[in-house]
Amino acid sequence: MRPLPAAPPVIRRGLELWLAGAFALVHLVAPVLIGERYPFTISPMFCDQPAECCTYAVADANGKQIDPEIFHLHLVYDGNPPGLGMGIQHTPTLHPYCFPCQRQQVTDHVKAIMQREGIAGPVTITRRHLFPRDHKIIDETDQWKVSIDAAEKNGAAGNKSAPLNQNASPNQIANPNKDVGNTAGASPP
Amino acid sequence: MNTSDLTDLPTPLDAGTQRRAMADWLLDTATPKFALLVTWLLCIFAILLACSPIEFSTGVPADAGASLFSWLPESILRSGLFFTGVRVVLAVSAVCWILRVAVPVSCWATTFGFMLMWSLRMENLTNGAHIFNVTNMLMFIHALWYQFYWRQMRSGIDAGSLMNTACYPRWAFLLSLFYLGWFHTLAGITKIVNSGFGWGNGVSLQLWTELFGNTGTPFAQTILFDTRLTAVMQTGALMIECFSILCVFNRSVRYAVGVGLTGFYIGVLTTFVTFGFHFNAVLVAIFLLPVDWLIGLKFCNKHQSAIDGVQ
Repeated sequence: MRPLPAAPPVIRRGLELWLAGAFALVHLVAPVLIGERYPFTISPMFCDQPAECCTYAVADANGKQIDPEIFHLHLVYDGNPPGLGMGIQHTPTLHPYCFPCQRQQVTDHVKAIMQREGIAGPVTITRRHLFPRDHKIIDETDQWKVSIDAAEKNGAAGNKSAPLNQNASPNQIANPNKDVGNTAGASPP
Repeated sequence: MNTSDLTDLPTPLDAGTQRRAMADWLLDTATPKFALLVTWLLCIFAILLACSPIEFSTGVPADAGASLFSWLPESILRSGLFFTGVRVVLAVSAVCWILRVAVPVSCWATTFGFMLMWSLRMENLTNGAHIFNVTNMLMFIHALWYQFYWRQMRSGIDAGSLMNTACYPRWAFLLSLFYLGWFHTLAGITKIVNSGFGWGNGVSLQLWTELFGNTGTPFAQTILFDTRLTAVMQTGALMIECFSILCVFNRSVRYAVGVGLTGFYIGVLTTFVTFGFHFNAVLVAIFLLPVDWLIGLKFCNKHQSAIDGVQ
């Protein structure tokens, strides 16, 4: 690849302007024709509008933290729409957009994984729930203990979860048994 | 008259003259101080990227690829050896570009090495990121500039007066403005298309700040203070993004957009510290704030003499 000294000036000047125009044109149509494929982009960062969010932490019977990804409760949302502009599919999670899930849904989900993976438990799920109230964001923490009994270990489905305690900070309120209604976007693996 | 605004275009006599005048106007040149500063900065960004290690996430490849290089075989996309090779090529070519060795080959090697490097990262991650699109595309524009103007630059270097040689064309500057403006306008359009005009309701920004932000900073505290105030800030940011493309048309508008976007980035960088938007912020500040004026970027108005010649 060399400069173009040999080309007549008129052609060279025309070529550089044509290429500059083509660059602009390609970027104008790329969002529609190509979409989110680097180096082209639709700039989708923070384009959604969450109304409330949840994150989860998991601990074993001794209080030791367990990777929530084992229970498919990890957070994949980082402001980018999940699934867009990435080459590897993230491990399925109960809440791709961090939308809140009902307590029943979470505990059933965790139990199913415990049975499938042979995790004896019990495990403690700590849910951090962020939602608006009185023009501020409320930071609420719930804890649920999830275990499976002998019958469930043998394959019977059931629900045995109990609230443990609630940790409240100045900007936090506790609500141990509150079920969150908005389950939009939740897609159990 | 030496600005780069489209409003500076002369009023021509007929269509043919108009085309010629427009072409001449776009081909007006300035001394390369501003462009060299940008080029060195872009090369430093390239070296920083080359020095950064990669993270190979395990999992199933996504159906839709993350980049234009997703057609490459899996064995290449996931190869640590290939990644290391691209890192070396990128670092060496960027250094060559800075030192003006083997240009314009080193310019294109840097541009496409950068593209491949970031594509490999995106192909191996489970989350997208938009921190290097601007850098890479401005690199492309400046490689194009070197491609066509290296001869003039070479003459200037040989004469020991590169900084006084008019070899930076107006189209390169305008195209950079266009990309910066369009990138941010697209962000605004995507938000409106995805969430509607009510995107800036304040709640979502407060949630993002609580989830991902450094809540201890004054800016984060302001965001978290009251949803109504946050809604004003968020809607303001959306408007600035949507109107960013106007920076191409008028210098005053460009500076206004620059102030708005720079303020926006200061808020983003002090709140979402780890998101890596520093590169975009620096380039926005350089192109959209009056840095061109400070450096003395002035394009020679050759179009007027062309029109005079026709007349």
